[in-house]
Amino acid sequence: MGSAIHQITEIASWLFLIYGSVICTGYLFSAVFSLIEIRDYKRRNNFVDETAMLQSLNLPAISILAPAYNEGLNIVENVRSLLTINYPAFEIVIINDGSKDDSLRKLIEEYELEKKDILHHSFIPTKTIRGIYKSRNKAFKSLTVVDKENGGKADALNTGINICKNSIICCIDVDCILEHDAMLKLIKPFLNNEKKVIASGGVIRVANSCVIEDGRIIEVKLPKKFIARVQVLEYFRAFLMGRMAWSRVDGLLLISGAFGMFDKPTVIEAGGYNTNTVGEDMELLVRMRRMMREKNVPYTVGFVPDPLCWTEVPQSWKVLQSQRNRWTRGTAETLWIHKKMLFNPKYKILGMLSTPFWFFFEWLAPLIEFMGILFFLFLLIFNQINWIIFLTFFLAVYSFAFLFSVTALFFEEYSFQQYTRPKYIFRLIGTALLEPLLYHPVIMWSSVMGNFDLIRGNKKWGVMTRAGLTNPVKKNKD
Amino acid sequence: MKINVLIILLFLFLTLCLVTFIIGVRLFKNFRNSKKKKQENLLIDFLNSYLFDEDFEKQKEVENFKKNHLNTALEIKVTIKEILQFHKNLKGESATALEELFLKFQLDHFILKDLDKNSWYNTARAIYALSELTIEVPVKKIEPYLNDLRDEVRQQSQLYFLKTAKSNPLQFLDKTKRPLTIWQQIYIENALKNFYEGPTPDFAQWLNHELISVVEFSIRLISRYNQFENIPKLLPFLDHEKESVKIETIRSLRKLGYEELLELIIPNFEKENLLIKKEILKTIEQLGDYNDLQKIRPLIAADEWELKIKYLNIERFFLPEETERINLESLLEKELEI
Repeated sequence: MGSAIHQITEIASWLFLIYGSVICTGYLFSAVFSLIEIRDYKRRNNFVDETAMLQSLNLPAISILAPAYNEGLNIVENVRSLLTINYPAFEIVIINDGSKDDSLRKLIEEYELEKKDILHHSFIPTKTIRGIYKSRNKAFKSLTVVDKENGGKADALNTGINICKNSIICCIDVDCILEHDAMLKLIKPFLNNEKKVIASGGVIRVANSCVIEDGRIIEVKLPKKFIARVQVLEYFRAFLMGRMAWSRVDGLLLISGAFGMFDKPTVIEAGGYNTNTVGEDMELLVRMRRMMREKNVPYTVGFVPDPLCWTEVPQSWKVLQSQRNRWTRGTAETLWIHKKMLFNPKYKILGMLSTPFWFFFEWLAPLIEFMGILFFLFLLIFNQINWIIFLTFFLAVYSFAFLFSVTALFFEEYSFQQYTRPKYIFRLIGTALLEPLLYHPVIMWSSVMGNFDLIRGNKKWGVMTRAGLTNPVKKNKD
Repeated sequence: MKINVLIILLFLFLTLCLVTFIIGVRLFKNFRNSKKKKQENLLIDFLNSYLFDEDFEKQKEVENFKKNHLNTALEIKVTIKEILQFHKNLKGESATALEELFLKFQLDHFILKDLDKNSWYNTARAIYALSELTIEVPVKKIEPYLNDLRDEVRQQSQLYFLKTAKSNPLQFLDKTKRPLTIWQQIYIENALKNFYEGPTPDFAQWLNHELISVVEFSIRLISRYNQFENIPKLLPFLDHEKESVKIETIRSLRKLGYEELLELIIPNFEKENLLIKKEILKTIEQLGDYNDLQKIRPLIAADEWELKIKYLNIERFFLPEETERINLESLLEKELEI
């Protein structure tokens, strides 16, 4: 018995070690590629101020699609903020996804909306549209509001795609706060590329605690709450280290649903957003890329490392868990739908690198980690733990996690340095020290539960409550 | 265990290095920013006096400034940036005075050194400064960059030739061998409109360029600059093998108000692809009438929903009093919704 346990221990330990080493190597490569990409981007953009281009009438028009569900609290201010976007030609399509609150009434009253007979065709099948509204007031002529039966975010976006006029679409969360030149920067990859660009995405930043005035970030502040502060670090890691690296090798599989630009004909050809997954943003991009690859059309996906969009992150553990649970289900569903791509050389970098990475290190990592904890309990019960080895191993993992966060912080300092107060660095370092102990276990547990819910067939989005902008003039978002 | 301890020590060492580096970067940036601010403030005062104070002893003060405040690379870079900033906001005599000052400060030497460096970003930045201040250097120094591997360098060299040109500002297109991106085309067009003051070139001279992107760009510029005399030269491009060239030609002729265009494009409607069909419909809306539109009706296939919508919208535009009937008809087709 003792010998069997010893053998199991030996094998499991080696497997965990190999997995850990591979994941660390992956992160190391990702860091190197990101650093090269950030340096390149800085060099490309440090001498020319392109905002003058915003005066140009030659830029293509954009349709901005923003789904809204029960956003009555802030919808009027959010739409006002969107209407002030700095770009020469755009339309805003707000899709009221069967809200149960007074969102539509507020919009109708505030923006003097009236029902219009606008012809359209459902290129992508969606739930029934109850009405399309345009404003009587010329000041809001770029605004279209679509009222439809509830069908979820993906269905709402598909409705917007069917209705909108322009061939470049920008899908955003209605409560996002955009930088003044966000649209210009996001459309640049579409216009400055010899290959066809099917999508481009930008960096999302955490707006909690920032000073916001008239729908614009006036002062960047570090969130006061630990839970929001950790997400600042997470976003550094995800965007400045993860997606930058994937962008360098043209292997991006995800453009955040909060802010992404797409080529509409390609989206329609790919079938639009998938309403049967909670990870519709990732699934759409993977499907578009897969389609382009299968058609053998040269294409690329753009990524802009500038902070372009600010969003409010969950500030309660319950909401955070629900969000991460959904993200896990979305990842798993997307990987399952596109399992054909996994290790398939036909899809080049997507098949040989991106999908395996997402499978082993994004989806599987929390499960392996959970198994590691179970393994630890198993050893504990059978009194097989060598506490010195355990402690040194634990410290090695902990110090790597800390190192990884500090590297992300370094990337932020090197690149955009949004958190200018020196005390913020120390607070973020302190947060990085606590994260593996206080925050990470919750995230891991949410992912495990996400997989469990997926098996049980849970398709729910979960509730995403936000503090919201109650004062449109000036507000500390916390 | 020994390996674990070594790994911990390595990670901790790296972390410590990074933290030190982060603090170092922050301190360095703060120090650099304060120096930059100081230099900027000095320059704002200096430039304002230089440009607008008649009692300012220009020669003496320039020498003083050069001697005391243009010694480090940072001071020089900030000065170049600030002069460029001032130059952007000023025109006429003041802008010329700034260009002279730039040369008096001998900042062009620094720029030319940058130009000779092998790094693309230094080259691009140097060409940018030269073109902003319209400082002319021998053509052979910039020309090779028109076909550089980096699009940033190509773009800056294109703008350099445009901004320094006295006539024929797009002559650089003759030497261009790499396709123009839409972004570059927009930049060139903006610069042409906002910076170039000489006679408008005849854009038809690039209609037979080897690069399709240049041909498309020329077709577009012909309509933007209302070069009606070039209409006959545009007509052959309606039969061009490239779809994008055809589209650009239809758009251009439409903008030029060439009414005979409809006779040329409506008969081909059925055999064209979706994008060209959309352009034909748009042309009917702008140059044609309801009779022209009706010719198209039987040519729209049952599954061409985008075209059907466009068609019905144009029909509503021509017959506003019959909107309800058109809506009803479209509803009967079921696949369309209101």
